[in-house]
Amino acid sequence: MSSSQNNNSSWIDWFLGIKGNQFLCRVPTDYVQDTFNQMGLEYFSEILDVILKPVIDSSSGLLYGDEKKWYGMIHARYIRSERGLIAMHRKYMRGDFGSCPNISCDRQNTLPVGVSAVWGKSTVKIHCPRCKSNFHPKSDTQLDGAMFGPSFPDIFFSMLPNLTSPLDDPRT
Amino acid sequence: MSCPRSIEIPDGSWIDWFLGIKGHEFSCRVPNEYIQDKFNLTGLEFDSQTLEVVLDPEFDNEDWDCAEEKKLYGMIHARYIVSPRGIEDMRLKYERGDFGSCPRVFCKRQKVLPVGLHDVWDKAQVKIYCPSCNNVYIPLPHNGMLDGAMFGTSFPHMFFMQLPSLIPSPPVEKYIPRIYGFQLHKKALMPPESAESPPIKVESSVSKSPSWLRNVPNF
Repeated sequence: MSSSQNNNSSWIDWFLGIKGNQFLCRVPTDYVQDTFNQMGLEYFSEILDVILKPVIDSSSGLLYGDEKKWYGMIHARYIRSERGLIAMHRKYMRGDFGSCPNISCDRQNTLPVGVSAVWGKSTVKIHCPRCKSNFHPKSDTQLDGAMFGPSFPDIFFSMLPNLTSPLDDPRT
Repeated sequence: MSCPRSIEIPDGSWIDWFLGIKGHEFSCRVPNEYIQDKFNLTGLEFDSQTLEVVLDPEFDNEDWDCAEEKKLYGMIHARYIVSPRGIEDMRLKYERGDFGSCPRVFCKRQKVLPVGLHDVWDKAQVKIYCPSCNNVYIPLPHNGMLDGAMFGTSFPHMFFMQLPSLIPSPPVEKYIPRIYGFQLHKKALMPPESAESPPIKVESSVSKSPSWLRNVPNF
């Protein structure tokens, strides 16, 4: 088990490969390194070192424990950037975030959404643009909602308006 | 003391076997006397051998498909669960959470009931009905294998007619789209006008999309 984790991969490679983390997209290391994108985040330089290390072994990845939170908050900013929106668009079209469970929405693709921008409040939910409701994802993901933030679906559709499709729902 | 039996032969009925299949948790047990009552079989087409298998007290699974038996049991099941005894059985399963909860966030894990979209066999798989938002959803994959006709289109509503005290209050919360805390204009939530009907007015004040957005394909 530990030998498979120690196969010349970075912390980001390892973290994205964890089962249940399929919602996440890869934040480029140059985005992580830009101090502007780190504004306001509390961190220790050791955490940043672990995240940016090109090769890690599993034991060093568990030394501090806040890498997930720190990467998550950077991730929330990245997915609202130009590059991040394009990456999330690709995942959305591929159906990585699942589909709406409402049968009226005819398996509409969904987007991840957080209830709060603060870490530790609740896990990520999925948002359907057709019925405009939030649902619990089917997969057993335990990602924090703050990794995506409450504004993400609306920013996404504001920047990519052609993707919005209406649902003829008389109750709306 | 009953005679010793090989452990390879399951000591159970066909119904035991059927209910024990993984993914059949939504089903409830129909009593034998209900199945044997000819009144409850009115209008169903089946041959006597199929009925004998369903009522077999010592079923030996020989890797049969059992398609006809499942259909017969399913159609009887749909009738049983709207009978007084069946509704009571389903109430116990509902209270236990056997049917799962509503996936909608603002329904706050409200328990749901199984519902069919058709009363005819082989049309669609079972769905779940939420009494809070009055909507129908696709259940989790491992629960959605049964045919919807096993439950029928009437079951949830018959259930709550018999047990009105179990009807929950509708959700008060509604999702309000916000960007950085600010609400969006109604127009921002509408899809863009179709390219097939170009806008009559050309407003020069409308800014063009950023250049990087033009590289995003419109599917």
